[in-house]
Amino acid sequence: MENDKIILRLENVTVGYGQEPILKNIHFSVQSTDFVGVIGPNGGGKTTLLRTIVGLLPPREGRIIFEGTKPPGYLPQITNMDTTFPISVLEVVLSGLMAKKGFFGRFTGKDRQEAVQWLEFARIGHLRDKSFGSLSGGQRQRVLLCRALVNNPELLLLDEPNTFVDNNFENDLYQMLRKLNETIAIIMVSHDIGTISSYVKSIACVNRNLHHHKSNIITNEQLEAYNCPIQLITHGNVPHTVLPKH
Amino acid sequence: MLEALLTYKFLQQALIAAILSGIVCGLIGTYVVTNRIVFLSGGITHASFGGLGAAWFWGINPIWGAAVFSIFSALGIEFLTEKTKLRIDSVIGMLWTVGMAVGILFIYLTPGYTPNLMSYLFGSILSVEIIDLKLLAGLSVVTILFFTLFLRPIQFISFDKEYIKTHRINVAIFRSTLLILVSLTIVFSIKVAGIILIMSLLTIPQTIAATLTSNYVRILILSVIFAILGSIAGLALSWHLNIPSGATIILVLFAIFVLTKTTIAFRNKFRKS
Repeated sequence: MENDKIILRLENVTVGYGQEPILKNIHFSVQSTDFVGVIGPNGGGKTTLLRTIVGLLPPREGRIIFEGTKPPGYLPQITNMDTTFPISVLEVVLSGLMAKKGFFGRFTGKDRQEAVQWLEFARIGHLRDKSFGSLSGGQRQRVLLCRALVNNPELLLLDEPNTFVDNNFENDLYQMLRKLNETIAIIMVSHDIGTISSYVKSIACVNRNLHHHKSNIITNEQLEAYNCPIQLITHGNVPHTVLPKH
Repeated sequence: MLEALLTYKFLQQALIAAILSGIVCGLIGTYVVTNRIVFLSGGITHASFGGLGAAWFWGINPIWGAAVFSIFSALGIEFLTEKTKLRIDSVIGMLWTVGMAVGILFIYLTPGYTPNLMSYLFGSILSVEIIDLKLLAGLSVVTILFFTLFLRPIQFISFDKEYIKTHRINVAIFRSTLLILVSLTIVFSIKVAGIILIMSLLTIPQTIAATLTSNYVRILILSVIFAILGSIAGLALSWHLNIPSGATIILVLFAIFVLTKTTIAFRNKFRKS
């Protein structure tokens, strides 16, 4: 089936230096309709996994086979971003077209239009001419999401997209992702398994190794079996949690 | 000064040098400041002193020695911090002082007349020669072309080089090219402000511009304008008061900065009340 073709495959991938690699002998495949939630303890290698997939960290061993025609859209963590840099919201989104434009490319009215459409999709169209540094954390994250999407990628990688986002937008964000997932594959790192499990289709537990659990329901026993010591605690008023009682 | 300008050729050359170095320092300085590589640029500047001394010793034009040293130290810093686990600020501090040390030794060993060190350390825009102007003019053309052709890549890579790397774009070559332009800008402008003072032309105009706008292109243009303005005003003032030109240019630029800041502060206060 066309819909079930594999878009990304990691074969025996090891990342990191020295005796203790950050990721060890990872096997992981993602289909073009997947929505994978990546969970695991801090320092377990979740961010490293994403950075390896987008090509920022070359694997020491193994192969990464990416079947997409465009580079994956990538939303990094924004903790250490320069907030005094002179760049407008619209310019940040346009920078997501670098792969298409190359060094000599010029932006056209159509590019700008597309960028604005994504900003409107994220409900921040009115901020297009604002300086990126003047925005709140949640708004910045939305802008970076637009940057990741403007090139119409076949695969979207999100690193803790809910860090700075208020509860109000969090629902919004997940609705957006669900809609996007109708056409593209999504891999999302999150510390908040309670919230994501109602949106994702499968769960990857990352703690030096990777176990791909092909369901969005996971129990404490299974997490233990995967050597993935995180706690299944849902905090706050989380709607539609599919976690079993514990 | 106008009358003197028509009479003295060296004054005309000084004026042209002020304009040309204003162009390159305004553009390149924006890259330096927005990338937060001010300290790196300071290191490159001081390391170039080693080449200056070596060229002197062998009787070559000091500017060539300085150019070679600054380019190699710039690429060396980039290489050492990318490929080894050395801390970037330690590497910069090392090359900064090693370059100075090499320069001092070579100048000490150079037999006979001790050259006029002060003009290279603190600048002496009135001693600019035709060859300096040619180099500055060539660099201005290259820099303007580079910034016109690659405006967006420069801005985007400066903003978030990691993201652009994920687009399979060779960021390293691009940044190295820009570092070479930074090195040449510094070396070719040494006559204007001197090794010790040149960083001001790469930082003060940009800081003034950034208080007025947060638009990247406007910052580029305003930086060039302020750099030229400061250099010419400093040159005129130093001519009239018969004081060192390099130091005067910097103090004029700083005065413009203070003036801009206070004007904006007053205006904001006035608006609020």
